[in-house]
Amino acid sequence: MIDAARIDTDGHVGDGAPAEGASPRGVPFGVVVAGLVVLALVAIGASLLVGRGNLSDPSLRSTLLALRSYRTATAFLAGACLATGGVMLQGLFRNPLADPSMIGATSGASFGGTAALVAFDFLLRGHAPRFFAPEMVLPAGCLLGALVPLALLLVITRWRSDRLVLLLAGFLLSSLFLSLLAFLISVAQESWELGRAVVRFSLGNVGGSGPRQIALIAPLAVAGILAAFFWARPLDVLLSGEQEAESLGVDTKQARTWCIAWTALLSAGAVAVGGSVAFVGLVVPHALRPLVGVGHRRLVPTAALGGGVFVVACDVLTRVVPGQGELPLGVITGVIGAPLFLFLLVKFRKEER
Amino acid sequence: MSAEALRAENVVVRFGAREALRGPSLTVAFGEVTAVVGPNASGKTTLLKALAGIVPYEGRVFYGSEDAATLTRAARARRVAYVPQKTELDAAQTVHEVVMQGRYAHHGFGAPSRLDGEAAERAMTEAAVTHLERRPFTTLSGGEQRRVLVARALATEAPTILLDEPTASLDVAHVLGIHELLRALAERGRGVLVVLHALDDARMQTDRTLLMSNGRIVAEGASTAIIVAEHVRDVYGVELVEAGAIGFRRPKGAA
Repeated sequence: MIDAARIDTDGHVGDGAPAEGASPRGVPFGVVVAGLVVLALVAIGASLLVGRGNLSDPSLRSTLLALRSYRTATAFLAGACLATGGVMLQGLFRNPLADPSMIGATSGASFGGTAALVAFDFLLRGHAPRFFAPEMVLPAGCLLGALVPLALLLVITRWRSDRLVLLLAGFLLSSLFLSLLAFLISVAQESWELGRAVVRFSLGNVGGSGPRQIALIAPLAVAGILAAFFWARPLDVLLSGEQEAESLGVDTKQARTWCIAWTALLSAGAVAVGGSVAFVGLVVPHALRPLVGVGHRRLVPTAALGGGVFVVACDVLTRVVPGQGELPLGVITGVIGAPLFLFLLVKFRKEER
Repeated sequence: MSAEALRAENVVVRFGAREALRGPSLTVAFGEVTAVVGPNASGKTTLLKALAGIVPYEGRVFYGSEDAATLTRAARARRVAYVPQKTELDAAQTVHEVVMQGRYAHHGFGAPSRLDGEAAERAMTEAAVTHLERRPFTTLSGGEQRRVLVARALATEAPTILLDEPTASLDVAHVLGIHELLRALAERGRGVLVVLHALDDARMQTDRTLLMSNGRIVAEGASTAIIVAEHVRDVYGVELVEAGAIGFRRPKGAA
């Protein structure tokens, strides 16, 4: 055998199909999943028990629990959507800084939602058709708003295929829609009530969730997470770069189109029910990679679970941090997410050396 | 002459207005190691990428009797494997996971089968990287990474393998190891096309050589007939000094 002398004496041939995605820290995958499930149960329990209103009052108990369970489910699903989107984009771009907000879908959805609020206020208030549910104006606007930057980005993808152009195009679209959003916010300040609604939406919250929000986000989350799981194997190969992935049989153009489209839909869904919630898509996959490895078949489900836990936990904090009323959810995810991300970044870079 | 593994006819590759490949035609035979040599920027890497079907080209490329342009990506990957000079892989995948990438063209979106696992094991054994199986790819030395990339290419079970400077920046023992591996692959019937910078290696270790200059193949034939003073002077503008050459081999009795 060629160079057989270099094979260690203890070098063994595996059983044909060794575990994929070995954890760099040797933490068994089952333990990570079990840990996340426990955290999820704790976060969900806290979310049901914590907040204004007295659960010991029998006349309030069932209403309070119902409202909090809608809120908890929405927060969990929004977090799962954002973290799954983050996993797909970071894999696709092989860029640890990629985040659903970088393809313009988040700002497009924010703009669409705000535009819908403003338009509804100016044009339809009092004249809306009876079948129309006013609280769904905003989510519908978000989904439509996210489709615009998505369509533009997919056109650009067909035209120019390199990663840098795509990332820059996403960044520019994001900036464009943020500027348009700023304009709408300034217009909305004309009316006190509308202004408050717009600011509340743009800072993120899941407080007003009901069955309609869950009916919107749940199918989207399930479909998106399944899609991410479906694309996991091509994303694994794409870690070697586009040309190598092509040489290994991956249709990279198809992978790019679908992963961007699913990420846009997932983040639009999250914005539609929770407003702008920062850092989830960035932090959660980063925190999990050292535990479950870089393989996407493990990263996708754990990130979905972890994203849900993170946002539910942050939503609990919005209720317990003292102050006038609740803190905006987006403020808490950012305030916790940014230092956490910095910590992970410094710790990892150090360990890699 | 053995059967034809790969044939290219008038392959042209353009990067904007610049023609990186100006219509070379070539064949690669099963059972032989064919070298591609030439100065920097003569189009060697572009030629390999065009043959692997990962850059757009004009002209025709055949894998055996099949026109590469009519095949899906996965079908191409099962027929021709490509080893880049330097991988872009910088994620902490284990060696086993990297080698399993070579099976993607077989299992696609689905789960790898037992056959996929066995093919990866064989490839790791062939490239002598089985002992590294559980190590993260990013922690390996340059030479080890090169062998893992070869193992990934072998895991595709493609009958033809294209390698871009697999010996670059390796020490003399590792270079020898790579050449022995390529020879063994050819002896087992594969078609091997390898880009090399070291002309002495091309002459001593390969059967045929394609000499490239300025996007064209300017000479081809038996390696000993191509790496000669006249061609080297024409293409590289330097004199070939026969007396100064030194060669290396393993001590007698070593594997």
